[in-house]
Amino acid sequence: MPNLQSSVLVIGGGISGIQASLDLTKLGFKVYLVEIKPTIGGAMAQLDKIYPTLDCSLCILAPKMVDIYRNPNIELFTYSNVKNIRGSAGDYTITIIRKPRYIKEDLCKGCGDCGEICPVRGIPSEFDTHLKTRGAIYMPFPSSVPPIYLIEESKCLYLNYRICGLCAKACKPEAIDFLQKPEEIDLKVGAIVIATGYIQEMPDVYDSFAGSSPNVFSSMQFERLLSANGPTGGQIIRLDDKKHPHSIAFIQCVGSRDVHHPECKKYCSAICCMNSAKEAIVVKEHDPSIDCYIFNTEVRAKGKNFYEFIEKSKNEYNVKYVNGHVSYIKENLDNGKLKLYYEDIDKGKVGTFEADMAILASALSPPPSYHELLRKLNVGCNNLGYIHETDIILLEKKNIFVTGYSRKPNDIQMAVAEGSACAAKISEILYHVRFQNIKKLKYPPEIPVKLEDEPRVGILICQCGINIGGIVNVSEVVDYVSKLPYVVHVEENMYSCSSDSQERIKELIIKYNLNRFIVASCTPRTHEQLFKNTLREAGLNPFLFELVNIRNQDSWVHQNEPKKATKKACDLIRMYLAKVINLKPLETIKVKVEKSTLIIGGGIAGITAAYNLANQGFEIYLVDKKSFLGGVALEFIDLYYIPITKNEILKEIKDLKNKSNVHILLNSVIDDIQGYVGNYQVKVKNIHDNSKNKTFNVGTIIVATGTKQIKTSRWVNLSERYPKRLLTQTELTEMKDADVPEFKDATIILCVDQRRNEFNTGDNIKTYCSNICCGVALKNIEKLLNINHNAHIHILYREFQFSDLNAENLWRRLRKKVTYERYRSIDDIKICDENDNFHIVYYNVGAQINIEYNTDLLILATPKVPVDDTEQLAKLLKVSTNTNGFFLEADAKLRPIDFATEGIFLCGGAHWPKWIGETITQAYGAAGRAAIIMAKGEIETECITSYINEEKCIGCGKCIEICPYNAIELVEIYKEMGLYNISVRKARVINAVCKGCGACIVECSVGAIDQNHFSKFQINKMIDLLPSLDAMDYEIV
Amino acid sequence: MQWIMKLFNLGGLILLKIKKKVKSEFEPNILVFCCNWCSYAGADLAGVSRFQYPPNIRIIRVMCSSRVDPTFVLRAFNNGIDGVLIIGCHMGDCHYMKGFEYTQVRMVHLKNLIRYIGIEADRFQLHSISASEGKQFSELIKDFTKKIIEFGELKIPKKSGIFELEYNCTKK
Repeated sequence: MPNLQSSVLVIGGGISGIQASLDLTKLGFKVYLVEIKPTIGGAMAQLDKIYPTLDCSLCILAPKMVDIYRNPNIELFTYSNVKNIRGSAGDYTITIIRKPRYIKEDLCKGCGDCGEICPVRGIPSEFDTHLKTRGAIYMPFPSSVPPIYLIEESKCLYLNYRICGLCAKACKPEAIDFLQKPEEIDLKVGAIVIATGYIQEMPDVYDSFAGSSPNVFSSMQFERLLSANGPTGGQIIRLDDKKHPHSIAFIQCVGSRDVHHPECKKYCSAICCMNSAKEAIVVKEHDPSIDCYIFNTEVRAKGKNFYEFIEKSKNEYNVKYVNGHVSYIKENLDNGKLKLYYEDIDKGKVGTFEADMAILASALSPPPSYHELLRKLNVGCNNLGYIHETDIILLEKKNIFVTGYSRKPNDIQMAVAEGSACAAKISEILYHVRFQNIKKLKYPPEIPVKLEDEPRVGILICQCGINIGGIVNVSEVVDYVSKLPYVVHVEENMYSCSSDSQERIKELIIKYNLNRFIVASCTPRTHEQLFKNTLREAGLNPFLFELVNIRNQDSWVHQNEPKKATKKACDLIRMYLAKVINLKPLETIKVKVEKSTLIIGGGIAGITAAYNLANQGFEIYLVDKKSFLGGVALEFIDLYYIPITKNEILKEIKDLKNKSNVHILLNSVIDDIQGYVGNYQVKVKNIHDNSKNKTFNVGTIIVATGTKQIKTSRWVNLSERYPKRLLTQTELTEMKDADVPEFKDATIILCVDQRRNEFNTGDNIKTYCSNICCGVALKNIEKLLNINHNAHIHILYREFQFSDLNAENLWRRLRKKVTYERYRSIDDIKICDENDNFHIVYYNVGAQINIEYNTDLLILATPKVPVDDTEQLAKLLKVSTNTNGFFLEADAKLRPIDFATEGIFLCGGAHWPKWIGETITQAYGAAGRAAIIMAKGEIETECITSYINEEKCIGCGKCIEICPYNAIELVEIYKEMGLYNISVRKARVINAVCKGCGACIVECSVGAIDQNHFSKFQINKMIDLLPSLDAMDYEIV
Repeated sequence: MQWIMKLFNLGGLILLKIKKKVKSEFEPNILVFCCNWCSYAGADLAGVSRFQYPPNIRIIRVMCSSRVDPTFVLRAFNNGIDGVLIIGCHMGDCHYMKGFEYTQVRMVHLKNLIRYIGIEADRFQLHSISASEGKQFSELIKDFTKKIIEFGELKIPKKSGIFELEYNCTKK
């Protein structure tokens, strides 16, 4: 075995890279995260909202970015790129170049004093897509990670002309170092993850879209414009006359899906349709009077709840969709509006339209650094500018994994799933060396602090250079605070976050025998963990600490009122003192985790997850209702361009059967599941043979139950008469070529009974898009053409929903052989029986006439639905399903494969009908997520949890109803009541599952529940001490 | 004309240098509950972006707005705090999935109760701020403070706060 390195290089700090890095560290690997930009966060940090949930993008991303920054096992190299890659699988040597920031990273506090003084102005900010300006010394955006400044070399006056240097004088911690040079660093890694993301270009070809007009934006620019921290503070205004627009035109497919123009991309960027719909909705939420028009060739809403989102934008928000391609935009000089020339497909003519603003959903493509990287790996690109699928497989054999937008155009949720999948694959390969490079923090024994001990509080008040000290009179605060009860020592210092301050805190704790500590400085969201660590290093429980925010929420926002700001600082410290003296030391409890997994469903998803986890050494219980493994897709898997062949899966099945740690339970269903993460008791029932029933314990559960295709209730009489000639798509795919009845003219109808709006639903009629029918149809055409070269094949479609690189190529190729015919509504298609043939009449959108023809083979793309017992399984697992019966994930974007209940994961069709390729990715992802819990053999519970006073609890169960994590259970307790033993029901918090939101506390009508670290008493005391103890009289001078 | 203005301003400055005690204006005490993930981050962003707002608010951080017990609000009014604001996330943004939904339901009832007690119902408000809405945060605080100043001081006998311990400690 070659020498395996226990560390991983992740290239790219976007959401996919972040997810991969965080998962990898939890799986026991050291991560080097290299990012070419000065901050991590990628494109997601720039977004205002995300679809389809309309969540705030930064709200959910920023905590992950901080996690990366604070993780001791992730070494972050921002503003760096990879110079070369040497070595072989398992043992690579990487040289990276770290560009000079001209700032000492360890000294910079991100206070911004330098940025304010920098005389260079007006440099367009990359983060704000050139809509905002910045100085030569800057931080990309306020929540940048790492939160430090950098100097742009080409713009700095000192570096170029040796004049100025004002920033160096302004910087109190003396962090500016004009002498920095590019640094070369060698890293030893075992595997590489490539997650370089995308860029949005505005090439010259866009000149025909009035690209130079200030009122034409790219979609990312518009995203910044919508953002509350963007260039206009979230106001939608035209940039030239600052007027509010009355109409906005969104133009889709700009520079993409165009095979003719050399500068245009030939593929579909996959996310623009949804993105524009989202932006239009956000606009409508800002101001409902603005008219939004989306000019599209076809709307591609491919994903869970995406089609419904588009429908919502049409019906609830009145966003108008115009079916047509815009070819040209020019400015109308008379009224300053933009004049659009477009082809109106519905009306069959060229139209013009005037709008105040135009948003170009222009093509997204991998950045230049991606191609550079591929060159270094000696891997070529296909004609679309992406890595070949075959090369992906080759690279994976060399421990190099491609994820996110670098693999193919994809949205956030797939990028996250792929990030997790990469971590799982790496964990499988480097399984033997996991936990070798992981830093284990060693702490001195904890000083016991009892509740009865008198509180001895130490307080450190930070000046943060002049950021706090310039406004708040820190020495006055020190004076005031030192007189408060229980305060033993107060002192001020320049920078509390610097490393010498950490030493000082430790010194103070020992010198004054402190048992509580308060730091009054910046925000706990970024710095609390740092101080907690310091406390722990000093031997004090980290939960005996509070951080008082007197910078972000005091000195920075009351810059003109220094006296009042000083009083506010005093008040805040007093309030938090009331809390701190009542804090209790909290301990994480370690809960043992069974190193075994239950996988429900033996389809491709189940097998992939089982294979991955089995190779990582975990015990696997693979349960399937059927009598064989492989599921529905196995037979025709080779038809598709996916990274795995049928033979490989058959080999995996064979391997699984031979492994001693894999138990395959066929013909079996789940009878009962009890317990919680780390310790589920599972009962499995054999359908045929009761003696084969089994009971076992597992730590995690993966749900991979898949989908099935249903029959339509349309054209029933026809299907009864010609059962062999009216098929669903699945029936045709599964059929052997020889069994297909003879035909001369075949018709495939897509979107049968799916993608309907809520008004025409019925038993088998679905509002959603089944996602894969279009792609399956292409393969079915190939199959039909194989059987009969000369057959005439019609494909009746509404909108093609593939944005897959290969599918698009295939579609173009097949265009020469078959006729794609577009219809508007399934109700417009009339089929009757005529001389043993199907006679079809429908309204053709392109030709705008009714078309009639005869066909002798009819194939229908009916909806895919979850398998039969999904609802029952959901009840057993205590997880929820959505209105369409599919399992509901914890978060549509950032936790697509997790359930809200800890320890249960989701992959494949159980989540949503999806491509085999995506299914496999999710399966790996789910395996990785499960492995994270099991890798250490124990999990640490959260400290800030709820707890129940059993004496007060009346066992009503209200708290159980509202807990979103199923973290509370009812237990029977026997109580002696005189002569009798009676059983009473009491609620109990499962610490391993509780996330500490505190919703249950308020719900409890008898006040039996309380929360650690945010207890009722503590908050009450804070409220009591809010009004001033001594009213300060203000003198206005 | 301009130089006359300049001179006038200068004179004004000199005049102001003479200390003059002015009757202190009404400075309301306002309590704000922020959830850790969205609104607290929004308040931080307001700071980073230097959006100014009146210094009358005191923020208590809780993990989720659903932790805020209606009794906290009542206790605050009982202590003579002039206004209480609960700021959570936007609908659907909740870090704990449903927390803000619970808060909303609870606070409707609380608002009725406050009105019933005889306190102006708008002294207590529930709002949503996301992590990227620094500007909105400062606007919200400005508006709310203005409103409270209009209402004037809360006419409830004030209880003075004392530092108390939940558990008795052995005093040395």
